[in-house]
Amino acid sequence: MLQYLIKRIGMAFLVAVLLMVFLALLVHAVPGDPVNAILGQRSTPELVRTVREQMGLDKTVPAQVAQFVGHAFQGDLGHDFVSNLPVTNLIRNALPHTIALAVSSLALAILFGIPLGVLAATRPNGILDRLTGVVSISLITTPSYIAGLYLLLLFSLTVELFPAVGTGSFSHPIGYLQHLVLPAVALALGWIGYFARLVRTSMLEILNANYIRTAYAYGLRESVIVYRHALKNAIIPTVAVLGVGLGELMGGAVFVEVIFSRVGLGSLIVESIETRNYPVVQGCVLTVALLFVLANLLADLSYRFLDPRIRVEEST
Amino acid sequence: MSEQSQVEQLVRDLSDGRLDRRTFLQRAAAAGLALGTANALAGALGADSAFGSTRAAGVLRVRAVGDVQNMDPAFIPGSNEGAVLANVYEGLVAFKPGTYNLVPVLADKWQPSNDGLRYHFTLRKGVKFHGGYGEVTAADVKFSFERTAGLTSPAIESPYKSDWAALGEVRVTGRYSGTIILKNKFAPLLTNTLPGFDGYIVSRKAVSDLGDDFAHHPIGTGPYEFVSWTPGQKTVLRKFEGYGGSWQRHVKAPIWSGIEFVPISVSNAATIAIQSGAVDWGPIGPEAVNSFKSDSKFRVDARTTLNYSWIGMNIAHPNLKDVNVRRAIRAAIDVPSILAAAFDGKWSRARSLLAPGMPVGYWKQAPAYARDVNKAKSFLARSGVSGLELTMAASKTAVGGQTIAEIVQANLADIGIKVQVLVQDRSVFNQLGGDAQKNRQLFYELFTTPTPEPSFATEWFTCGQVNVWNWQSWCNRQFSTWDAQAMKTLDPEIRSDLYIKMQKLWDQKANVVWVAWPTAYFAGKKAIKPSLQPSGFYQTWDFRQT
Repeated sequence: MLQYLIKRIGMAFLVAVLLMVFLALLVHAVPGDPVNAILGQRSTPELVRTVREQMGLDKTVPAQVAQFVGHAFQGDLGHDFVSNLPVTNLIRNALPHTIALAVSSLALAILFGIPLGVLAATRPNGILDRLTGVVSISLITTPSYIAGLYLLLLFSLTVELFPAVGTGSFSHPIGYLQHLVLPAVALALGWIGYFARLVRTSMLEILNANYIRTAYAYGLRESVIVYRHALKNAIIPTVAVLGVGLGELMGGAVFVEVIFSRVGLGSLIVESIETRNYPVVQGCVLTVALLFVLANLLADLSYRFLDPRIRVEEST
Repeated sequence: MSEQSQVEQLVRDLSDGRLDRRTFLQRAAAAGLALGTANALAGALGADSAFGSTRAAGVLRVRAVGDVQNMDPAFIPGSNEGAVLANVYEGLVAFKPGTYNLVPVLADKWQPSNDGLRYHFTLRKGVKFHGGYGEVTAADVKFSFERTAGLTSPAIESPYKSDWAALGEVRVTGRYSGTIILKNKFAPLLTNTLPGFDGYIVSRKAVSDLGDDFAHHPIGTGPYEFVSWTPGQKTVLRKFEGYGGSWQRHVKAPIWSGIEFVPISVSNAATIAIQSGAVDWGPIGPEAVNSFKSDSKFRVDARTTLNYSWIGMNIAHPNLKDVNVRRAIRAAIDVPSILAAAFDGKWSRARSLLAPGMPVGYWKQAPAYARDVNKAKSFLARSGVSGLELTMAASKTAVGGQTIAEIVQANLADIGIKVQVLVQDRSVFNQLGGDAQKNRQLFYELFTTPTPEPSFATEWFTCGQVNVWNWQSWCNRQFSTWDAQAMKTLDPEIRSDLYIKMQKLWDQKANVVWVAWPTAYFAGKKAIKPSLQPSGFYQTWDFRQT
């Protein structure tokens, strides 16, 4: 187990290094000039030259890449070109809100998606199954920004149940939750549908397995068979998706953050890409990517606990 | 905790602003207080609702189009900071709210010399900076102006240095008096530099003490002082208790206990935020105007800005060298359709560079070219060009940019010109000089003119700006000479004649199709009466309740 853990952490580290180099190269490969975008109408060739020097953009691309990677290992992701604030400060300010949004969306997706999938699988081809299928596909195909706008119109404007914009503050948990509900639902809807379909498919397969038939033959209660024996095995593919899902949610939060005017990494990345604010783009994407790697590592480790066969295969 | 003490605590939290009205009602109900009683209590305490109704002299919540980035007046990146800093800073002189009349603010006395090269000022005594940074003195005035001009040591590289290009020095003649000495006559001094943020007085001590943090902790003398900036969430100002009252010679005292600027970049979300009461007031897009106008709970205000948008043609590109090709394009483009499709018919058609609201240089008789396909075809035939293929670039962030490019594509197809539409990120679209300029053909752009100073609009189209912002690559010595002459001309009538002649000259060259003089729209609660400059710049400290 320890060996496996070291191997996986080593791989994650390698991915992180390659990612940093790739990122540093990528932003320079994209056309566009950050200096003109930042200075706008007021930029003159002299001012552009001065600002370019201040930003270190006069150095060669390999020098800039080496500098970024070297500094990143020391926890220094550079300074925002416009505000001159350290990028780590911007990320520290935005990251908790993006994590809160992604985790709460994932929780909603699990809470509603898995029971929906189980419900559909236990009544295959029935009305409930068909209805769940229609609902799931509808949710999967609804983009989060469309869902967000409709939720805003309905629950902020018509019913006035939740605030329309903003993030709230962790120091006022109730207010914070009020601000979180609509964005989390908007982001979770697609995943609820996806999890429902995934769990249904896995469950249908498991429910036809011999050991389940045996369990029925022993006269075990259906709820025990479905939730204790079938779901435990059917959930493994879902757990594997969870790792990717968390990363996707972090990245996918961008539209929701923009629509609800929430602070977060997504909105920070979008604004920074527009102005080619390289340090912010690099810092934020690196953070999302590292979280993605971490989530996948945790998912890998967790289904080793869920499925004893994986442990047995490795030990033999 | 007993029910009574719970309610007492809730009341304290509500009155201290730690709870909003909605949370108060929920918790009060949970603590056993009848809803009606709790509601009445909340009302008596004047609490805000969870969704933001405005209480008398309470906090005014304003939608900002974007977040602030840098609040140092010498480095302001844009209008988001401008709206915040108008509450925090004051200059020697400024435009009286709602007008372009120059009035003294921090200056007690203000006397220009006859030759227009010296401006003597005497400060109001006892005006304090925020944050305990002491009294405003003539030394602060000298520091503020010379700092932006790059005359202090060490010199800073302000993007607004050119606004102070004519400054020789500010001579301090006493603790409260001094003279601004110019190297040459400079007409924009009184229309742009001094009344705008270039003219804000900063505390020398604060700049020195705060260092880089000054950009995120502005210290001025205005009616509101900076409290906090939560990136992406809000910028908070509160009424400055030690306010020197410089503005109160001209307008009534500010009424709000605080002002919050909430960044909401998406126009639809901003509309919902205003309609739901999450913010009290703010700028809105043209597409939202009708829905606010049809709702009696809201008030809509509009101002035609001094901004201008146009479709440009780069005459340095071989495809657009021939004036008859450009005339053909101008005759083929249907501007009224563009206004209807891209701006919901809510923006005025531009006929030239300077908008009607510009006090100097508006060309009233400027032609509005109607779409005439036959005429366009005849111009094209005269040029001898056939099978022409062009590119048309627009920035992703330009309001209606893509729609305009597509209309141009369709219009020009009618005369046999094939157009490829390029919708670009601002940082790609804004690339200056080099290959970017060489390859540029047709483009749609909008420039802002924040102050009533015509040179702010004309300066981008002179010979010196070719390969910089003059994307038409049109260099006309006469135009540039008149522009330089107008900058040094103080007589408004002579200036006006010069700017009109410049626009007539430009019109003959047919390298632009003027599109719009944008209208700025604002919506807010009916009870809020905004204070707007003729160009739409808003001064939230002067907002009133009706």
